[in-house]
Order: sequence, then C-alpha cells, then structure tokens
Amino acid sequence: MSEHPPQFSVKKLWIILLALTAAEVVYGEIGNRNFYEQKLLLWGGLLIFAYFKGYYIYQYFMHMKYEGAIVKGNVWFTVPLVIYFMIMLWPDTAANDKLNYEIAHQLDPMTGDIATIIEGSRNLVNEEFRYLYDDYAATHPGAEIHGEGGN
Amino acid sequence: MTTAITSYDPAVDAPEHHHPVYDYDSGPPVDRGKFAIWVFLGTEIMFFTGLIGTYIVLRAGSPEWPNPAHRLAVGITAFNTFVLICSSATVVAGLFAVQKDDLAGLRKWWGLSILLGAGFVGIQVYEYVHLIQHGMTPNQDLFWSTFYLMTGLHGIHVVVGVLWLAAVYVQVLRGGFSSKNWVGLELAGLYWHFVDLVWVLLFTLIYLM
Repeated sequence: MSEHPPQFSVKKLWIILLALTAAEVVYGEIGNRNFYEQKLLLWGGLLIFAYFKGYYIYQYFMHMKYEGAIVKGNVWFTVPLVIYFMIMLWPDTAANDKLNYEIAHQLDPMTGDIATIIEGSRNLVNEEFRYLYDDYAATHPGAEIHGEGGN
Repeated sequence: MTTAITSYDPAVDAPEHHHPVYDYDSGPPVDRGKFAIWVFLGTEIMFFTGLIGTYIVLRAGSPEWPNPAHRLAVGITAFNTFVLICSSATVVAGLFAVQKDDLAGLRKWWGLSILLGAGFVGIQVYEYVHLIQHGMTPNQDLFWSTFYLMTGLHGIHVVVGVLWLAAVYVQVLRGGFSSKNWVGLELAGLYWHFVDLVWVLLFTLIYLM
C-alpha cells in the first residue's frame, strides 16, 4: 500500500485520553464517597467520560474517521444487533423485583457453604421463592443470615 | 496494417503463473486484510456486548451490589489503564513512523508497545494473585465471578494482542515493512486499539460504577 492516510498529533490525543482517564477516576472516587446513591449522576458522568475516551480511540487510533463506507459498514451492522440484544434483555433488567437470583450471598472460602445472605435480599425476591431462604436457614444452622426472615 | 507475431517467449509474453490478467479488481475497494479484520472486530463487538449485557442483567437483578471502590484497588488499575492507552499511542506512533520510512522509529515504538502490553498483563496477574491470596475467588459471589469472567476474557485478548504485536515485530526486525508496505502493522494495531477500547468500557463498568 502506498497511499498514506492523514496523520494526526499522537501526542495531543495521548494527552487528551490521559486527561479524560484521570478526570474519570477522580470523578468516580468523589462520586463513590459522596453521592454513591445518586446513580444517575454518578453513572451518567462516568459513562460520558468513557464515551469520549472510546470516541477518540475509535475515530483516531482506529482511524475510522478517515475510512470509507465499506469499513464503516462493517461496524454499523452490529448496531441493530446490539439494539436487538438490549431489547431481548430489557425484561430482565427492567423487572428485577421479580427475579430470584440467589446471588446476594457470600460463600465461606473454607467450606464453600453460604456464610452470609446480604441484608434484605430475602424480601427482594418473589414471595413464592422466599421459602428457599428459610429452608436454607433451617438446614444450615451455622450460616449467618441477615435481614427479615433470617436467624 | 497487421503485425505478425514472429516469436513467442513464454518467460516474457505469458502472464505470470498463467493467471488471467484483468484491468479491474473484483474485490471490495478496500484492502482485503482491513476488510477481514473489521468483520472480525464486528464479531468481537457482539461477543463483548453479550458479556456486558449479561453483567448488566445480573447486576440489575441483584438485590445488593457492593461498591467496587470497597473491594478493588482502583488506583493500580487506573495506572494499568494509563499503560494500555500509552501502548495504543505508541502503536500509532510506530505506524506513522513506517509511513515516513523511519524504520528506527518503527522499531522503537513497536518494541515499546509490546513492553507496555506485557506490563498490562503483568499488573493484572499481580492483581489476581493479590485478590486470590485474600480469598477473593470467583466462587465467592456474583461480584467476583463477573469480575473474573470479564477481566479474564479481556486479559486473554490482551495476551493474544501482545503475541500478535511480537509476531509482527519479528517481521519489523527483518525489514518486512516500509512506507509502501505497512498493512500488516495496521491490522495488528487495529486489534490492539479494539482491546484498548473494550478496556475503557470495562474499567468504567467494573471498577468505577
């Protein structure tokens, strides 16, 4: 290949990416300490930083800004697939109070048994499944279960 | 007026390897290697979309999710992110150098990229060892299983990337690239930037959010 695509200032882009990373980490640290519960503010801000970092890498380092329709099309065909995938997952993420993942527990590293069920998790699953937690408490007297219904 | 063929020398007159020669290219108007790597990267986008999407579903379905700042060393991983971004920049610097026929610059920047990539893997291994020594194994809870799954699969991609950069570096040392022939460098670079891009997302999702 003999045609040279346009070159940009690598140093300038490097500084921008490092500045964005530093700003993102500082924002994350401040957010996790001061407004961890304000998810929209914390996550929205972090995702904006991530978006711009990804944008610069994609457009300049991966040279997409200077590519033609064929190369761009190779990436854009994934967009409807990603949207389709998100739609398929949406019921699970939107209706999370109906889920029953037994995931809010800690295992004892020595025995492999459930050692702790995180406080309140029993009440967040459907009532019909809560017997699982109660059964567990009955059959594992050594386990420490927090929250309503625990021992 | 007609011209008679007076002699026929296969070495001179026959097309090379007897392939027909056309005055047009039937392929896409883009380098085939670049076309192929972007198709491959498209599948990689779907792979990581599935992984991240599953993570979001599991996290949204979990009644509680620990603050990652309480479980992970964000500082050292932020430094590792810095290392990976630097390696992406040095890959581009190497590519720009070869386009100017600066082969010494290519060797310098490409070698540095490999070192930085290996450094990223080393820091991640150090993090894993430290966590496992403190009992933070994948079977502890969903936080740790998704953490190891996502960072581990990304880590495998980084290892493959380092090996690819190293394989290309062997060709660099043998003088296999010039200002007229650098596509092989660009393809390895595209994969490496993709790995960097995915890490930007994973770092935000897993370590900061």
